[in-house]
Amino acid sequence: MSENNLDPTILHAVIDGELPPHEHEAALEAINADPGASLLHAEFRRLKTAVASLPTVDVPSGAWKSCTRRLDELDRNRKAERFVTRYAWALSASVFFLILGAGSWNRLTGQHLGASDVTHMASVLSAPDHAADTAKVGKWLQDRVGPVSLNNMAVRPPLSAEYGQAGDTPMARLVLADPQGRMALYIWRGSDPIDGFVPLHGGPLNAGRMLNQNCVSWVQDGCHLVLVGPRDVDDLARVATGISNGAVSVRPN
Amino acid sequence: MLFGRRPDGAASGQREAFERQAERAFPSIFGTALRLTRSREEAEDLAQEAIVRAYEAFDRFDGSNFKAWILRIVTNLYINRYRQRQRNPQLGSLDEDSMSEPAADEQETPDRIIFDELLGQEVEAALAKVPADFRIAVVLSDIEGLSYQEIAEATDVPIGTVRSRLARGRAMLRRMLRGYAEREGLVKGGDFE
Repeated sequence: MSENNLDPTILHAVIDGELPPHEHEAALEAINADPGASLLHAEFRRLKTAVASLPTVDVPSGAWKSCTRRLDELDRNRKAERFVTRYAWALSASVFFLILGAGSWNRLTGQHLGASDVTHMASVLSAPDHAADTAKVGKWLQDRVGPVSLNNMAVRPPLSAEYGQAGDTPMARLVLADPQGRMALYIWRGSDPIDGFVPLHGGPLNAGRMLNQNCVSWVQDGCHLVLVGPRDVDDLARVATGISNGAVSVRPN
Repeated sequence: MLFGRRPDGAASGQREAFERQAERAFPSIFGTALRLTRSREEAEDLAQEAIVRAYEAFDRFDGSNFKAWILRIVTNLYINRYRQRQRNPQLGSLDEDSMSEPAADEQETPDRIIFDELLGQEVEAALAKVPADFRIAVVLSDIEGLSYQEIAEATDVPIGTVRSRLARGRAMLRRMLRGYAEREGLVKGGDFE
C-alpha cells in the first residue's frame, strides 16, 4: 500500500465490494502485488468481520410497546383530523347558517340595536330635503315615519330634514340648531333598546355615544328618537325634554 | 368526493404494513440508535421518535429497502437533534482528507490473531470511541450492511465522503484494537509498527 501508494478508500471499497467488477479486479491485483497492502487488506477484512459480528444489542423490553403506543396516539389524532377535514364543509356550513340564523332571529325579534346599527341605518338617508316644508315638520314626519308629537318645531324649525329606508325601517333625520350649535335628531319606528345606552338619571332618557358624539335616546309615540350633538349629555337631555312635548323630562338627581 | 378522506380500512392496513416492517427492523433501529447516542435512554427516545417520523412519512416510502430508509431517519434525527447540542464538535481536530494509514509489515503477526481473539465488548468499546461521523459510517456499513449510496443518503453527504469516513473510521478502530491486543498480550508490542 505504501509502496504503490494505493488510495485507502480503494482498499476499503474492495473490502466492501463497492467497485465495479473491472475496477475491483484491477484494485485487487494492485493490492496483491504489494505485500504491505495485502496484509492491510486482510487485516481490515478481519476488522470488518469483527465489527459485523458484534452481538445484537438487547432491545429493552417495552421499547417496541412504547412505540406502538405513540403510533396509537398518532392514529387517534389523525382520526380526529380526518373527521374535521371530512366534515369541514358541513362545519363551515353550520357556522354560516348559525350566523345567518342568529342574524335573522335578531332581525325578526328585533330585541336590540347597536349604536353601529343606527349609524348604518342613518347612512342610507337621502340628501337633505330642503324642499320639505320644515315648518310643518310634524306632518312631514307623519307622512314618512309616523305620528310623532314634537314640540317647538314650529318655533325653531329644523335646518334640514332627510329621509331614508333602512331595510323595512323608515328613518328621518332632522338637523336642529340652538345657540350652542347644531344637533341631529334621528327618528325611526320601533322601541327596541340600543345596546350600550344606559338610563340617564333613572328616567326615560338613555345616554350613549354614536358617531363619536354624545347622544340621548328615548321612545315616544311608538318611535325611537336619538339626539346627537357635540355637547354634554345633560345639555342634550335638556333639549330632548324640550322637544319631546312632555313625553320625557330630565329628572333632577 | 370528500377532501382528505382515507378509508379507515386503508389506514389500518397501512398501520399493519408499517408495524410489520418496523418491528422486524426494530433491533437494527435501536442498535444503531444506541451505537450513535451511546446511551440507552437516548437510544430509546431516538428510536421511538424515528418510528413516529417514519410512520408519518410511510406513504412516501418507495417500498424498496425499509431498513435503509428507516435507518436514514434514525441517522438524520441523530445528526439534527443530538449533535446540534454539542457546542464543540468532536471532529474539529480530524482531517478527513489526511488518511495515510501505516502500511502493515510483512513480518506482522497475522491479523486474525488480533481480531479473532478480541472480545465483542472490546470492539464495541473501541467503536464507541470513534468520533460520531466516522462511527455512523462504520455502523451503517459493517453492522447494518448499508451500501455506500445508502449511507450517503442517510447522512446527506457525497459518496466520496462516505468512502473517506469509512477508511478513516476503520483506521481509528484498528489502532485502538491493536492497543488493546498489545495490552492484553495477545500480540507483542513491536510486532505491528
